[in-house]
Amino acid sequence: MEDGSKASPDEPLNRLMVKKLKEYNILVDGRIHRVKLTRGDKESPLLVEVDEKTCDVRVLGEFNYGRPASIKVSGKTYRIELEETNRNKPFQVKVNGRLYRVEYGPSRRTRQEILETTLPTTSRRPTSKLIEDKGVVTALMPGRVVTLKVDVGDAVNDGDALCVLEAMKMENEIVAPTAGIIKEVIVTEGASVSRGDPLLIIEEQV
Amino acid sequence: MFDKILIANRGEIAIRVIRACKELGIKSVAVYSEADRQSLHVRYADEHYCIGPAKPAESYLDINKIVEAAKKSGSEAIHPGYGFLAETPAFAAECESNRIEFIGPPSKAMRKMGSKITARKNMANADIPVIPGSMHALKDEGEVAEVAETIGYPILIKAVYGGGGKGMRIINNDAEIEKAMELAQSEAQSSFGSSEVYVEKLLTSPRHIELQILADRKGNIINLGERECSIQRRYQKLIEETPSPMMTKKLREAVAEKAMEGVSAINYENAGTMEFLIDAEANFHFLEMNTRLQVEHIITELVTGVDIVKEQMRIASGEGLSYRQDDISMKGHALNCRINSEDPYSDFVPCPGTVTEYHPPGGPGVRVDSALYAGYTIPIFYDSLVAKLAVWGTNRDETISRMKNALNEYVVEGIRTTMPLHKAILNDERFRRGKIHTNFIQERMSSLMAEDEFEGEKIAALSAVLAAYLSDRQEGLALVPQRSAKGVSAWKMAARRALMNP
Repeated sequence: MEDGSKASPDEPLNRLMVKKLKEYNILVDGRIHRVKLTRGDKESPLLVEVDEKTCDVRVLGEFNYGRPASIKVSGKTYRIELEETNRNKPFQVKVNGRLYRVEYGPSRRTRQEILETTLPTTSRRPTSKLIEDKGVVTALMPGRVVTLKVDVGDAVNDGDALCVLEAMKMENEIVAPTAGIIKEVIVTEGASVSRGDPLLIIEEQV
Repeated sequence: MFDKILIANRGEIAIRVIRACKELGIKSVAVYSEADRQSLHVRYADEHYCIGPAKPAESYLDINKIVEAAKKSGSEAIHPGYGFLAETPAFAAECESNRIEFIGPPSKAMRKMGSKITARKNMANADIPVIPGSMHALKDEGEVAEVAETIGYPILIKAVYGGGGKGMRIINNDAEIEKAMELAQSEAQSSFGSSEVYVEKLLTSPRHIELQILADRKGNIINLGERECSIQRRYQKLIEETPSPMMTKKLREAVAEKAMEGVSAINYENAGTMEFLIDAEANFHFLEMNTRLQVEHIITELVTGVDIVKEQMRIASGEGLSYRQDDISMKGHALNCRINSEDPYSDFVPCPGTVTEYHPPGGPGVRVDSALYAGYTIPIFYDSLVAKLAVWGTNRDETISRMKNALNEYVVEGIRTTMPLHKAILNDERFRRGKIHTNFIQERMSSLMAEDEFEGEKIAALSAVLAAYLSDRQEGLALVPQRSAKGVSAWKMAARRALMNP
């Protein structure tokens, strides 16, 4: 990454000049979020675009690793804790005390790539990297696939049951986030999945 | 007393029983599934036997394998803990026929409380007030409508062999009967193997009060006072306390008397809990009996000083109770938080995983019953309860303050837990005033739990970018943490210190 600012080291963050536009794909619990740093100037806070929505960000006090910090995003304050960041593997970020598993992109893999690396198997896959595709249905909890209710080629409506995941004696029904045709079923019955793992792909109907 | 006891359970409750064994000089035998090789209860026990694959049906629920392990190890008794086989009369009977002492009630007494209908009948016969409703299983909608007419809406349709809130539906009028009955029956069939249902009057916002009973073979019955378990979500308890903030001496005596009459009527033996619902007018109604040690028994231990598990062993060995009713008094106040690996912000989805850091709280009156340790991976196959955090204080206010401290001190990293919800409950004005009932969570905590999941995710993503941006710039505001060659990094220690005093 490039450093485009000439700000002095002790200059508060929210008055830093951001001259280069930077765009990141960030995976949070298996879901992709687009974050773009946009130009800020000396008088205004940092402007950040998250999932195509612009918000202003102010860091209240210091922002540092291993220490809780507060940031103000579009007027709302959040408490952030970050132990470390790592380009090569997932790390943990806490927002208001809640834990998230975060991975840096770029993880724009093609559909072919995801199918090659995620063969239907009962074994765990090492990573939950996900293609940028709205039709990918992911596991919202770790567990075991107990029932698959759809097959490739099936038409589903928004809210239809796709499969049932079980963990800790609780069953959780995974429903279709959108209407469409089942394009791929990535998991098999009995497979163990981690949070954020892709389960199946729905092709949206236009 | 026994020389050797097998513990037919896992997790924190197995550890609880092993501790009691050690104090009494009894050898302990752990059984474990293939998924539990790394579990703490296996390490703490004197002997351990693997009893099969991870699935409960093939290990912890397999009566033959457990009895076999007991015989092989030469165990004279089996403690079932709670859950799994603790309330399965067939297991108690199998122990009896193999001349192994089952640390719990005789199978015969257990059967009298096993089905909800049988329990209701037995209690009604013993003159214990039960919740108005049907006294036999209902076959069709007509029968449901008939009962509804006598007791009035709203009613609750329940599975005869149910538990844990499954197979239950609320019915507000005649039109809702058909659908509710169908749903309750199919859920009852799939969860409990029987589609039998019955109905009860739905009490609006009652309080859940239960009485801890101990009964020995010589006919001595004592009660250890009540516990209030009104803080629950979908019939799963989250916070328990004793004494109940609503309890008066007079009411306690009345409930305790009925509870003891109830267990006496079925020739009960060992530890048991009589559960009641108390309505707004302080009328109490029998709900059910748990014929086993309960998860929340520890708060009763904190206020009475009685070690319930050791008493269970004394009763089962024939020694009998070491206390008389006059010896029992409740001193101070105690609270218990059930900490589950579930995400309170996302409809309580289970969050098993690896615990990366673990630091339990301490201080006066703090008790942690847990099987967690740093590096432990919580399996996906079993219950989500990972820790019980109980505190004792001289009064309710002090106990609440201690619990808040303890929750703030408690470090469990790597998994999501229900601790944020516990903190929110303890800070709630109505909770602090003791104004609680079984719909408390639904009424007071829904705003916390409705928090936008994506909002948090977006902020997490944004923070990661902010951190990367600042690291790259080497602005001095954020530096890449330097890990020391061994041990915990100074950054982590700093964070821990900061976290402990928010």
